[in-house]
Amino acid sequence: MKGFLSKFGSFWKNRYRAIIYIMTFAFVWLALINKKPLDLSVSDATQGALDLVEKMPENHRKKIVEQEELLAKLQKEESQHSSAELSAQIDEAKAYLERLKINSNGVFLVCIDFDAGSDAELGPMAYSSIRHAFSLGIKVLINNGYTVMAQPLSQMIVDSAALGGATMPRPYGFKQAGSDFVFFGFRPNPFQVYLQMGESVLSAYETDYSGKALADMPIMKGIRDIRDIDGIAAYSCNVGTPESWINVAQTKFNIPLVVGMTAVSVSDYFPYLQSGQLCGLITGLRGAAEYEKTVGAPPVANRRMWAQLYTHAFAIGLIIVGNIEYFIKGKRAA
Amino acid sequence: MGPDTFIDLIGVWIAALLTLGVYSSLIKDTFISKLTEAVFVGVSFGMSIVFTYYNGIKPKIEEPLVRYYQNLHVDYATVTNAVTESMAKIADAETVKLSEGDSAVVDNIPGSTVFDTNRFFAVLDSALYKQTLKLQSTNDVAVSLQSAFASSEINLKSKDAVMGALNEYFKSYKTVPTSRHFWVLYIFISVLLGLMFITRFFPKHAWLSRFPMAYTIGIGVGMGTPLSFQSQIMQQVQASFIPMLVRNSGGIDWLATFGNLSLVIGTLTVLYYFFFSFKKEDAASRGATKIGIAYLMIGFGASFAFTIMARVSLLIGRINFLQDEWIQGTYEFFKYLK
Repeated sequence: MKGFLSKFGSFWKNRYRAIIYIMTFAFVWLALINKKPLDLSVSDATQGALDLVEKMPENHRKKIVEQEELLAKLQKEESQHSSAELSAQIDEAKAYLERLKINSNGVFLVCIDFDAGSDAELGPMAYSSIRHAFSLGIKVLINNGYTVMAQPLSQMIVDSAALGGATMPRPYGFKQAGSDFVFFGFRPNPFQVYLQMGESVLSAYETDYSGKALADMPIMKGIRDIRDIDGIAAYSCNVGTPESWINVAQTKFNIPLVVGMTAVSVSDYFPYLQSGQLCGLITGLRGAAEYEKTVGAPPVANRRMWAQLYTHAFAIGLIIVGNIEYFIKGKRAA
Repeated sequence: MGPDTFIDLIGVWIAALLTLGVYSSLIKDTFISKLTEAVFVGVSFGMSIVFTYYNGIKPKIEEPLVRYYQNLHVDYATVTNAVTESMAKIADAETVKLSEGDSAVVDNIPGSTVFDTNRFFAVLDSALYKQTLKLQSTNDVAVSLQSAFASSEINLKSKDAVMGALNEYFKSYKTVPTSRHFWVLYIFISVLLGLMFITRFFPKHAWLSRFPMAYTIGIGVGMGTPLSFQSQIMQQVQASFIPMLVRNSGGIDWLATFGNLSLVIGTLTVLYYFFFSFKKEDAASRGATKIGIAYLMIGFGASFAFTIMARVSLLIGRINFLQDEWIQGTYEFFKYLK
């Protein structure tokens, strides 16, 4: 027995890395063969993100009613005592109401700020949220933040949500670029671009990704500046980049904001959720799996959760073995 | 989601082999693993330069400058005649193809036509703003326009629409407002500031790079500080002012009370741990420090678990690709061919 243990010890010492790699690969591969979705409960953080999109049409209609009431109030005031300032306010209110009525179910901005390296985690959540918005008749704007390489990936995600396919069926008709959604693409200096969107979206983005002028697109008739957007979701693989949206969208313009991060970076954003600055926070693959399960999207992230489960169990096992070894060695050293 | 065409299949195979090449470094650093790393860095960097050029330099610098220069030197009468003549020829001809989207609409509404004004302007721009084109030559302009429209598949059936759009185009084409000159000056100053960054490579003139650096930092700090102070300090401090005892309709909400208490204790003890201005020798100080360390460890543990989750997700993504698109996709592609 002692001889066997010593032989196993020397075998393990020389090859433990290779064995752990092979076992991790094997666990992931075996788990992916299992096509059955994992039954997951939805966390409050993900529920917040779901609610933002789910309640968007209702909140947009409330906005229309509020704006109509404001307009009626201003017109009543004007009938009693007219002034140039009041007339300007009425004109502004009328123009805003008109814009609100054009995109009557709301406008949702999705910022795709990740490249192919984080697609495994963030791709399914971006796809699911765009699909969720499409299924509710919400108009979707897509842009890229700090990651210039996000452009081709974003185009693929948008196309699969708008057009679908055999493996990605959708419960709504084809969505048309320019009428139902628009993909702006990347612009240098995103923070300045976001601030510029507060003044005019058309001055921040004159053309879409394919080079078509935005001014004549039907969707853009209802969007002048960032205030015409009902909610923003920022999906990012870089720590520090969603802060630009928190500063601009949430703090400056008070627009509901959701952040989706890779698991490695997500812990930095829980304080923003706790303080109410974020409506929801989608945490890595698990968050993506919860989101797609709730909205009934094809289980891309959900299928991968089996592999997460197996590899986490394996990692916990390794930690236990490592600790036992540490205590045994510690005793021997003493 | 496997490959649909042979080109897709080649792409999937290259991606799969590069993935395996990267993973081969787990066994040993080999030529293949080094090659894949170099390909990854090279392609990423090369593509980001191209994207930055097309999204930044081209629309913001090159196109405005080219347009400005050409508008200063154009013989408008020559161009107008050439465009009008060639347009009339094209609009009369029956050889113009319709794009897929246009024909769908035309089929649905008999007798109606769809005219894409923006596309029309873009084609005119591309034909007239060619670097090599002599805008003073009527023949050259006409040839350039005819070839641009023939390859564009734009719907030119409605002569009225085409001519109307052409007039609109010339309204803006003919105008070079004074603000344009200032705009060009602004572009030159921006480019100059950008080029100053490159002086970092020449030690003698490296001091010049301080100007764009100061400008960039100044703009960033000026715009970012008030908002960051509000969102990252004021609102965060505000969120930590919470009731120690939470009550609900049924009495005390013990779970929420415990959560709030632990948040307050955690904030104070962790801050105390990082307070190094005096020695923490008494029992109370040491106790508070230990609690602070415990909170930090719990935080690091959660971060570590999230890190494992993220790294495993990347591995899952790649193995998912190898299984579904490479192995299964290739099998299904050849099965379909048979």
